[in-house]
Amino acid sequence: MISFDRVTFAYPNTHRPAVVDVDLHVGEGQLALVVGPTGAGKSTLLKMVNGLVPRFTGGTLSGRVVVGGRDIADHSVGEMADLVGYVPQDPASGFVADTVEEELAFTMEQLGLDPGVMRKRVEEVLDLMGLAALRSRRLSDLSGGEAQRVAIGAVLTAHPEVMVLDEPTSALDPAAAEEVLASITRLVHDVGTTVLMAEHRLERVVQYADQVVHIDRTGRVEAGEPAVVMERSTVAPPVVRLGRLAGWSPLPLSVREARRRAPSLMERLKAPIARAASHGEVVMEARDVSVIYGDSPAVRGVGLRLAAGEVVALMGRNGAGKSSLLWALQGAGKRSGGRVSVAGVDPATLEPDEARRFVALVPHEPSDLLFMESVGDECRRADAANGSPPGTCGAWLERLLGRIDPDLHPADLSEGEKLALVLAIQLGARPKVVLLDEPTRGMDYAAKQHLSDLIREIAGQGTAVMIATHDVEFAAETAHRVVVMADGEIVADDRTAAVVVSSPVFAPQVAKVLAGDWLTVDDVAASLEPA
Amino acid sequence: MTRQLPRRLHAGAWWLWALGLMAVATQTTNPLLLGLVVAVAGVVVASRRGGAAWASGYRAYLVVAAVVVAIRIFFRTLFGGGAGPDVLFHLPRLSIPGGLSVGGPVTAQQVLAGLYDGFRLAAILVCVGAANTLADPRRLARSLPAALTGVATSVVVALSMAPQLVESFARIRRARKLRGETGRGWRSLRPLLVPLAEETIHRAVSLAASMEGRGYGRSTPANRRWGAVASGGLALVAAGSFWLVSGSQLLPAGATLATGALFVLVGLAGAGRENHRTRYRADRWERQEWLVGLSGVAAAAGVYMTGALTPGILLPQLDPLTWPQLTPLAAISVLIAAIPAVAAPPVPAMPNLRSIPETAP
Repeated sequence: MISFDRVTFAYPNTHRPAVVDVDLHVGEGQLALVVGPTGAGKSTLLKMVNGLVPRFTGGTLSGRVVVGGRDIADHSVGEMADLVGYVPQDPASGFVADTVEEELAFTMEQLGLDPGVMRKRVEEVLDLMGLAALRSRRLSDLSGGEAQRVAIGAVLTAHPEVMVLDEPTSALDPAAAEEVLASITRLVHDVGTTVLMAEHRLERVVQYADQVVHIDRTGRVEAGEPAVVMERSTVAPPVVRLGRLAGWSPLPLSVREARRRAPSLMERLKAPIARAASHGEVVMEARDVSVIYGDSPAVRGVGLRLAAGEVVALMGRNGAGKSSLLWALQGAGKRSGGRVSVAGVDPATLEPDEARRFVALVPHEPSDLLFMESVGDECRRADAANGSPPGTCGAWLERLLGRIDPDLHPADLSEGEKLALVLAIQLGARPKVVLLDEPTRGMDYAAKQHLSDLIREIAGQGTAVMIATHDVEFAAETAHRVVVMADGEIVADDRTAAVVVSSPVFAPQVAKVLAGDWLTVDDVAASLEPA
Repeated sequence: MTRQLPRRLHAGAWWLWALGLMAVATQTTNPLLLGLVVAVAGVVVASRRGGAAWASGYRAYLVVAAVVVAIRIFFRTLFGGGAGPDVLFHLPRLSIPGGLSVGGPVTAQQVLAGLYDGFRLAAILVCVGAANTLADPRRLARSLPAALTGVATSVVVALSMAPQLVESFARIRRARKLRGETGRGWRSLRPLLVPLAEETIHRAVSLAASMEGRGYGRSTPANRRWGAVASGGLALVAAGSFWLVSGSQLLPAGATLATGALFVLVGLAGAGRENHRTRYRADRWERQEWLVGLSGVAAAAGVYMTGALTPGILLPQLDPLTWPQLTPLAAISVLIAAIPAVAAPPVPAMPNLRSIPETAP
């Protein structure tokens, strides 16, 4: 259905092609998963399927891309619309209509389908994607998971034979991600749609794939059986890394496969090493904090303590009030009631440039804080504002990212690099508490590992860190303590292992496989007796 | 009698009705008649507006209308130059080189002229507001003739973008505090405008890609030719109407207008035949739409007849001062436009399902 024949593509004004010599064939009704580190050209590969690359981006393409018998060289993007449904990485950025129903109908209107047919298909897709209750909702009022399902539904109504999805679950909480993936697999199984999908969090999807397409940083592509490709993949979910550690072959891809082999591994394990949770003095104490928008409460009477040197993960589904809580704690956001005290001071009573010396927040969209012409200028401005010696921010940045060209424009940085830059700017103010809102979006395993190490290092210097995240593996890796929010209230607050191991939604893969207090592959490696 | 089924009226019907009322307002400075127009618009809005977000702006239109009246009176008082015999009071006079003067005697005539004039403008504004409140402007764009769907889609998308821009602005303004950037003056704009511009451009590009990827703009060359015919016709119509209003040569002006209209019709019909797009759940034009639209037209026609029969009614005299009058014909004509308050179908209840936004507003 999709065939790439010796395809090489380079963006304009670059020295290095984004993808090199790709030979790829995806058969009808198959689910192919595109994996690879950040910036390796996964999105580029996906956009070639309907011709957005190179028609929308420019650049030179050699070789042939043929989809459903149509060569993208001969057909415009619009002409591929009835054949290929493309769902971009940020679904909300592609919305064209006002309400869910109109959005679902847009493609069909452009294709000129009969109104009767349109009406029927919209109803079918509303049911298939579980959107019936949202039909007249405005698109701007949807939660992340709802928006993602609407975006998929909006291309489904045109009955495309090929669906292309760019990281469909990256912004979703674990439960919403399951829901979206379930709908995608239902399409493959029941409707016979061919799906090409990129995803960072392989632990969520790799077991559903018929084929894995691996791209490395040089743009070379290797495609094949999932278990075979994952043997050598530069990115691997915890279950695969566990399999590699234990020397299992063929590699298990799902928790279920791994659990069958687990007893042999368990025999070789000592008791898990308890994590040293450093309990310093309490630096932040929040009592009875609530946030109300209009007449809908987002945070209801939350009490929370953060100790110096502690890393806390704040989890909960989309819309549970995590962001609102972080903003209220920092003082820049709305707080309708309650008290916050950081080292005896309420940050909301301070001027913003003083408050950030007590509590620093790295928001959901780090690029909102970047406005200078170059990375070097950002750092100089931050040092001047922080009153810290010149080079402080640059030094932090180097520890976060390694060497980076100070003349680069902030807009040209990847999401992960922007996050690191904002974190460096905020750390320059030497805050007592650092809050991060969803920092791992769009990061590969290596980048997440690096961030995790850094956060522990920052905490090690006596700062309290709280991270709102959907990423259970990241939370398991990083946090001493997990706080779970639901409907604006705290429903669990305990040691990481105590919260996540017992929860079917929040348990990391390793805990699911080994049914014990091991949370990460590193934990297992540390307690593995030499064979 | 069967109960009326709640449904959304065709947006065009409301606009036709509002245009009728606006035509009434432009013809007269009679404050009684204008007051009647505003009252009629208010009654219809109160009984037939929906609960959607776009329908909540009526109050803003009323406020702007009141401000317009106040400004009009203020300027007439200040710069009126004391036209008319009935002096109310004196303002200190200030002469400006070049023959202009500010202040001096203030007459009842100039204040009333300001009031009447401002009230006329205010009534027109209220009518526009009523149409905007009763009919979703997006639905109107969606109901444009098939040949214009390309343009209409762009307009609809642009209208959807505007509130997003406001949201981004609020979000970035709040984020600025996190960096301690709360200075005043020009330099403090940079932390606001740079991220906003970046986000807007980024969003525009991804929106364009998304629209293209979903088949927008698959137009054929024939389609574009018909579009050109229609646009040419539209230009002729504009030129013709301008000529007609300037009033000197009625015959050639009328001919230009008619030719233009013909071109527009031919272009739209041709493009409509060639067009391969369709519309999902298009608004229907039924009996009630005729009723609503024609009630506005009837009001305009009745007031026009009033002007022909009794010209003094529409433009009340100021010198000597007289109390404005109404004739039964004028009053009843305007009241006809209130029929939609009961005759238009009731608005379907909006399910109130707003969820808490994920990133706090």
